[in-house]
Amino acid sequence: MGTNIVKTESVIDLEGPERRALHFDKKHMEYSKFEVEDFIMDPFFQKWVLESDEMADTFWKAWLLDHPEKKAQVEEAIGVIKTLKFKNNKLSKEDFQDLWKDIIADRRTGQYRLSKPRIPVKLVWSGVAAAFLVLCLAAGYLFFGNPIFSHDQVAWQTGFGEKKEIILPDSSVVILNANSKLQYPGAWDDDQERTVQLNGEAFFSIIHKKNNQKFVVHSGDLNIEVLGTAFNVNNRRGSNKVILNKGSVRLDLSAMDWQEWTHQSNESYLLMEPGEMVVVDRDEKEISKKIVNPEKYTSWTEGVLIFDKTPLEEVIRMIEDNYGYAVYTGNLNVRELDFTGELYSTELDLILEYLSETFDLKVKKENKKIMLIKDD
Amino acid sequence: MTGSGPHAGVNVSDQQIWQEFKKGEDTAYAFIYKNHAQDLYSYGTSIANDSAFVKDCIHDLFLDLWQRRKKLADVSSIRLYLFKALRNKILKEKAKRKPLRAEVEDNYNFQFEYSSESLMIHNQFSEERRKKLRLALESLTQRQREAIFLKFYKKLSYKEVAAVVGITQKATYKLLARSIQMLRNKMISIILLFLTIFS
Repeated sequence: MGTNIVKTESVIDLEGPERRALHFDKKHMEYSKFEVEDFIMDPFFQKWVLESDEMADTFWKAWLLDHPEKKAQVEEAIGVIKTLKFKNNKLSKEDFQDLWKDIIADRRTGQYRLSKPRIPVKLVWSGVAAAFLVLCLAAGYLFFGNPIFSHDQVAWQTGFGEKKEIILPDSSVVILNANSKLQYPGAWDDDQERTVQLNGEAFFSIIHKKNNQKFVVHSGDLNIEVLGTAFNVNNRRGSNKVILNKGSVRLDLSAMDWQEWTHQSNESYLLMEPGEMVVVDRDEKEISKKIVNPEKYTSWTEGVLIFDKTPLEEVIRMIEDNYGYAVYTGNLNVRELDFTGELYSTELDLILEYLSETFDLKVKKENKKIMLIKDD
Repeated sequence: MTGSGPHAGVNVSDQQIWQEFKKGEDTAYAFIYKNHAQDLYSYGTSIANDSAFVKDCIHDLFLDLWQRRKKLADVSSIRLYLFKALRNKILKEKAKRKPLRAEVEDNYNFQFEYSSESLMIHNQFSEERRKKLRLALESLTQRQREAIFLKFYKKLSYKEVAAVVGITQKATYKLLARSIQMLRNKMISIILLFLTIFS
């Protein structure tokens, strides 16, 4: 850095050097016709009074010697300009520091003091993330084989790197992550179960109905029943991840061959509490529940990615799922490297830059392929 | 390569800082705060004479900047950009709480200070005369006061004042000329006191 720094001129043109040059010839004449107000309004005169500019100083002192009859007007103009100095309200050192501390503390949580910008009402997210890229594609096939775009069904599909906020017929809100699909009927009857189908990852904030109308997310062969208000579902790569931020959800395993899986209970239902994550891992045939910081899994809805000792392997999977790139890592040990930090962006290039800096990697990106190479 | 950080040099341009800030560079964010917070505060208090309120506006402005940094357009002058943004925020918030703050609004306490050279004269000022000057300044509209502040205190060019206040350069010139004329009419007796400055 520092070698090709370009100093930029400020936007001034009226008061640029050209104008200053003007003052030495043409303007020289005009000044003799100036009245007090004209002096006050003249930028070159202001410069002299306010900035003790050397050039202006030389000019005006000389000019006054030539025009002694203007002395009174000039003095009055100086008086006015100097009087116009406002009280310079300054932040005390403490205030300056405190304000900065508050800004830093509040910037991520979006804790505005006066009014929040357009960000919608703070919703409680519960998320079920079940994702597998290959499975997603397979599921897409199935969908297209069925009449999903029939007149009474609505379907949303996000592209790679895209995110969509969807308002359901009952006013519940869903934020659909990249490369995901959500499908639901155009309307729900009051006595009917509210059901949606998800492939990929989404956050749900579900309106609770007075008549306790059920809300169910079909995520692969896992059904997530919402008992509370909000939740987050993610199904990718044949695994389901459900993270609950608030409210309560019940996972219905009955459509799975869960009896053959490692599972801490032998019920076909699993109840979740806020702050819990349930992982249904198809590869390992294991269902596990643990306590997590839900924010870490739901921050993407606000354009923030939080990594907390996240294995590089997981980051790579996320890149493949959400951005549609195949990532090659050569002999990099992706299981052992982990990654901690917060990224205030979901832009792929920034994520890659971050990875490259953290692990000393060379990153090559072309034709939907990303290569991570150890930089020796 | 000197190995020094991007902000080590004095000649880092506004554009460069802005680019780094948009990339989410914390040091650039802090740099912007460090260099402009004081200016923003004094400008803010020239529009709204309520210190806590102005601080809240600056706080929210910096949060906005951070949250929207990727979408922000490129700027040629960070200071002008921030002035403009703060101005919009203050006016918007003021409009929202008009019923609450009407009192503050009406009793706007126009403040000014004397530059050190004129301190001597300052001391000679009788309380009555000072009151007169203040009344003269108070009789200006908020827009006039603001334009005068930007022009004579912050030393912005006409073009820059125009950009911040959101009117044309010509209108800015007119606005200021009219303000000066008004002030001068009311202050004529006071101004005479300054005649000794220049000798």
